[in-house]
Amino acid sequence: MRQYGGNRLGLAVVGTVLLLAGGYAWLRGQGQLGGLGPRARVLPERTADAVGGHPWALWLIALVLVALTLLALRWLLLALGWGRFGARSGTGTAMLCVGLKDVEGLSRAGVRVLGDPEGTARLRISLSCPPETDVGAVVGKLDREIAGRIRREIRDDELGAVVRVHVRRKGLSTR
Amino acid sequence: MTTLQQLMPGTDVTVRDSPLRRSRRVLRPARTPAGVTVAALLTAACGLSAAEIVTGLWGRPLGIVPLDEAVELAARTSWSELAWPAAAVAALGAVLLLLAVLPGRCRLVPVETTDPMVVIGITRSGLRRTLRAVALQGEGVQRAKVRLRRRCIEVTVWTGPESSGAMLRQVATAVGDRLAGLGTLGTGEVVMRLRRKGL
Repeated sequence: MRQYGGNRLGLAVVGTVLLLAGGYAWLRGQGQLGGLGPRARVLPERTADAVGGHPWALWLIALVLVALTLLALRWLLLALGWGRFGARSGTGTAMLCVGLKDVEGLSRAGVRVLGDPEGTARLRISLSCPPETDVGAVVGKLDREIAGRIRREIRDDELGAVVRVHVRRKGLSTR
Repeated sequence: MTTLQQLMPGTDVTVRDSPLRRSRRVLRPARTPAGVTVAALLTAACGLSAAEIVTGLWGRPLGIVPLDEAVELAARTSWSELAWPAAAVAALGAVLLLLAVLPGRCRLVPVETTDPMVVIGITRSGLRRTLRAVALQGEGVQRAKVRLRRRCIEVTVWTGPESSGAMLRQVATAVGDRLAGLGTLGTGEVVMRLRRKGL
């Protein structure tokens, strides 16, 4: 089981590109790159004329930018959680609530199946208890009995599960 | 080859993940705010630039991105004038790279589990509240505050002037028992502090 790594991958790619481009421009500006003078223009007239003289070059640049836009849009949607919310499992939630029926004031208990149920899926179990609850006992029960039972009911023992336990402030209404 | 393999040839040595490492791999931050920000900026910049170029080629430029001005500026500017902005870009790139590479602080405190396919985490605020509730049950404790530091948990209790070291030990035992019951991983030692009121 792993955390979603798309953001880290994207940040690493963008960071590397910025670091390399910035480093090159800085070294060139300082005259550290032998043979390439710091007094030269960033966009030489010859290059500007060559690009301006060939409309296909601008179309090519636009095409590359459109491809980058689509990639970045996909990253943005995935980063916002598109396709990663999963589906709520009524059976799993019911089993969780029955398993923890002794816990007073349990709220926001829920089970979601993330990813492809037939492929690389995993369960996300979340619950919230009041501060006076013996959280150790709740965690022990989840670990030894409830999580395993829900996993077997929804698919099999190979299904990973991430449990998020929260202790809320005193006095909040339970749901 | 490991020492064990040298001593006992044919021994299959497999590196097993520790529970803490396994939990941290699942619970470490996904860098969502940074990812969303960079992805949104990249989408907007690339999309608008592409639209500007295409509409410019059709003879009806949008006029949202000043591409012509940018090209003129690049044609006027020499590399030596660009040194400090370039250093800023490189620094920004280094920050993004560090965000991608460094594991970051887990939003959930990992809890020990018996099944390697189950990862349990308790929210940092949740752990603070449950420990505070335990500390407040101690005799004579009027107020308690819990801080989760990188390598230790600091519990400060406020009591009246008649409090004793035995009371502090009792609170420390209760907090330690709750932590042991939870089985939190990597939280380090518990540091107790006593503040007396009315002295």
